[in-house]
Amino acid sequence: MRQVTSSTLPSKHSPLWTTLLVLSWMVLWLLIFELLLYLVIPSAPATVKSNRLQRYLEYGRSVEGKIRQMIGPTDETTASVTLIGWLDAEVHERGRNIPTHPKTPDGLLIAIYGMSHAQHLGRVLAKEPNITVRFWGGPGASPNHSYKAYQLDRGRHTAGVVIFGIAAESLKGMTTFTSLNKAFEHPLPYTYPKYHKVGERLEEIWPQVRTMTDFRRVLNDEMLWKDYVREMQAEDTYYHPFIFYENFMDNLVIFRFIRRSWAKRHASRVKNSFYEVSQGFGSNQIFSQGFKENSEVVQTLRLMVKEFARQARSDGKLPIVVLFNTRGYSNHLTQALAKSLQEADIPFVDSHTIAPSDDPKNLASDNFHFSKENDEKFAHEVLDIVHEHKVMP
Amino acid sequence: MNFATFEFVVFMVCVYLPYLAMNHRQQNYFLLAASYFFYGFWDWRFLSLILFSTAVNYFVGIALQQTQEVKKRRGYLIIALVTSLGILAVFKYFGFFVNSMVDFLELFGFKPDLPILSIVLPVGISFYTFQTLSYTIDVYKKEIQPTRRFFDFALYVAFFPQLVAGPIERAKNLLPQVLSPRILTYDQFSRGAFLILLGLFKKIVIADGVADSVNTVYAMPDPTALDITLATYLFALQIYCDFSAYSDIARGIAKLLGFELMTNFNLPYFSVNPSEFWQRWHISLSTWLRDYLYIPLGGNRHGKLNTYRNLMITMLLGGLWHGAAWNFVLWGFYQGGILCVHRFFVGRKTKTVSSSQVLGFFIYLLKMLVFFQIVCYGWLLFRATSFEQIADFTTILLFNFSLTQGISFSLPPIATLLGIPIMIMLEIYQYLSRTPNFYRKWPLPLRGFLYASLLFILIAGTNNAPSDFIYFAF
Repeated sequence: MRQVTSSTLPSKHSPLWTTLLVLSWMVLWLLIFELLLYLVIPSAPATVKSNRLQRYLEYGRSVEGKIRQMIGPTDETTASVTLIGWLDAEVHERGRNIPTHPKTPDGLLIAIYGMSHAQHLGRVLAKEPNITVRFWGGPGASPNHSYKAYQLDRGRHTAGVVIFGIAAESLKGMTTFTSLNKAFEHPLPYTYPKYHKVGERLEEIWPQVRTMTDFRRVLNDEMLWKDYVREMQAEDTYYHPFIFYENFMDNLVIFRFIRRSWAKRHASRVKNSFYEVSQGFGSNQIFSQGFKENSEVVQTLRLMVKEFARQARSDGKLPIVVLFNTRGYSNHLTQALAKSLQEADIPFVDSHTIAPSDDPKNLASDNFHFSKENDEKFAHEVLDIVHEHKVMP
Repeated sequence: MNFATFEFVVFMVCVYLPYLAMNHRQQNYFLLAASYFFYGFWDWRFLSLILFSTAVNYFVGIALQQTQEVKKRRGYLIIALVTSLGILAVFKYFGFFVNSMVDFLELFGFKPDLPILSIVLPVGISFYTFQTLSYTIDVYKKEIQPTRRFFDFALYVAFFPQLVAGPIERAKNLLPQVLSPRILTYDQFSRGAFLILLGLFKKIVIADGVADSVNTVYAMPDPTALDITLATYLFALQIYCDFSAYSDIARGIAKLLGFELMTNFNLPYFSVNPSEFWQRWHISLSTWLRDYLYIPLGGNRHGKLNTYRNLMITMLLGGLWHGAAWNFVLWGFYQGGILCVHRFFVGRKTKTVSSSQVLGFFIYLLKMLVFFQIVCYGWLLFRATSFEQIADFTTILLFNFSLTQGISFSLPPIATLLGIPIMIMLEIYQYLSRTPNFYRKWPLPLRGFLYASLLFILIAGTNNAPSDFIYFAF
């Protein structure tokens, strides 16, 4: 490999010079692309609704960059989506019409904890004449969030039925205490405890930030912010300095693409720690897929649902677990939990047996949530369980 | 180690820089070590298989040279064939044959208790087995001289750019390049760099970008005919972009190292008949099958019926080479069938003379489009996960087709939607200019624009969910 010969193609320049010229043109064109995108599709302020292309170009902005754009000094100057999901019972009830009793004397109050899937289920249930729904959740809420919301809500209502909604997609949130890094493209600041299974009990780790007020204070104080980042480094598996810190890369589309790609690969590595991805192709597929039996996520979740049911029963309420096997997960959530639920005699609804998410026809137009018809079917299943256990007055 | 990963970039930098500073012999030892590391990165246990296969074929090659006795030579060849194909049979086909036997016996009411082993398929086993076999058979046929340099032969078998998904190199092409000092030219370097860029673009932007849409439809219980049609077109793009991308990157990396690997894909979707298709698609496999199976079976030398039989056997085994499942056999049967039909008609037909060049062009274009549909139905057989799915999808396509049904799956991401027309335009340009180096005749600003566009969309496309190259599973 000593010899390097000249180009065999005719050229008025030397090959090295030609290569340098082509590379210079390439860099120039890349700069022109940046300039054109900057002029044609300018980034929209985070508090304003942006179009699809604007969002596409913005996804790769750092977590810190996005969050600083979204959060202003007051609620009025803050993107409203960042105000939800906080586990602050007082704030949750204040100013909202959160029922504590059934709307009719002979009715039933059902308390639901979960994410958007659970909220949609609640909306359908609320249409029943004798049923009142009390919902507490957050965007993409993990089981940790729902479990804590349930615990904080104990004694604040008279619900006869408590529903714990779990989405397969949301299990990833169990490896962190915040929705900042796990949802890189749409980071949200709300927090919740992280749980570790220690023997037969759950150890709870709360971050220092628990309310929006806490978060604003931390965000605007350099020292507190550093402390909070250190906390994330220790307990948030999705945290990575390259995707978190705001820097010059936020200003160029090409670097934002690179960061987004890195974030996806990082998230995929984290997911691989508790979820087996299939390998192979078509009929050559050789490995099974699903949540890993021995992962901390699955072990903790099993204990969590048992604890939820035990506490609900001790409060005289009927516990129901609704398993949303979301798109891309087939029936894997059911596979991971069904045995534990049956052993503890906990009634549950399995979305997969009613509407497998593998079939896009079962999904809404966003290709993620279940269709309204299927939400109705889930609600019907819940009502069957309620009637079976004679909870209706 | 997947080419389209950060790990591979680090690996390549660690290999390439020292490689440039070494002399020829050092380069070969170093490349061999790097190739074993590359392969062992998946599963180091399977290195023993590749070493065993290398050793057997190396010693058989030398033994073949040392004797002229026909019986002995045949015996040595049989040892190599049995060993190489035996490994392939156990690791790739054992479970398939046992399961098929169980299914067959159950048809007659038996409940056989045959051993079911879940054997993990070693990556690239079909590729390096065929490569080592070609060496031994060529030595047996005295078409090449065996090498006495074990490490050089081992490098020929395990050369990392093409080890796990081809091209399946012939010893007469690759081995001399291993044995002699190599010269790297600027042309090789720049062409290699472009092939890598193009390969990554095809794999990451297009193949990975359309994978989710294809997977969604092929996992649906009752897709519409439009779903199936569009998903199968997308799969045609996916498998081409995935596999040809691997070949492009392999050839690109080899060029950077001073090697020339054979062209494995030559615009296959521009074919107008199956014979042309197999001269353009997976050329290293189709020529291997032609030289080591079809021609030894008799080729087209013993009458029409025997030719058809030979074509069918070759394509059936070619289908089975892709995977241990009946749908691959069916796909091979389909390919063999269309080759026979084409041969049947081509023998009788006189060449059509069109009344004008324009009309001739449109007829040619029409043939291309019609043959593309035939290829795509083959891809449906290939992609399907079961016979039931093939039957269902075919029934829906034949009896329930309507353009008003709408589609049930989400479209590929933006980078992919931008990348597909760019890739198609480049292929058309290459087809019309009849050279893969078409871009090098362009003015420098235009070349810069091409590289910048590919790079920009490639970086945008890295957000697509990454997946292994499809042919790793074969």
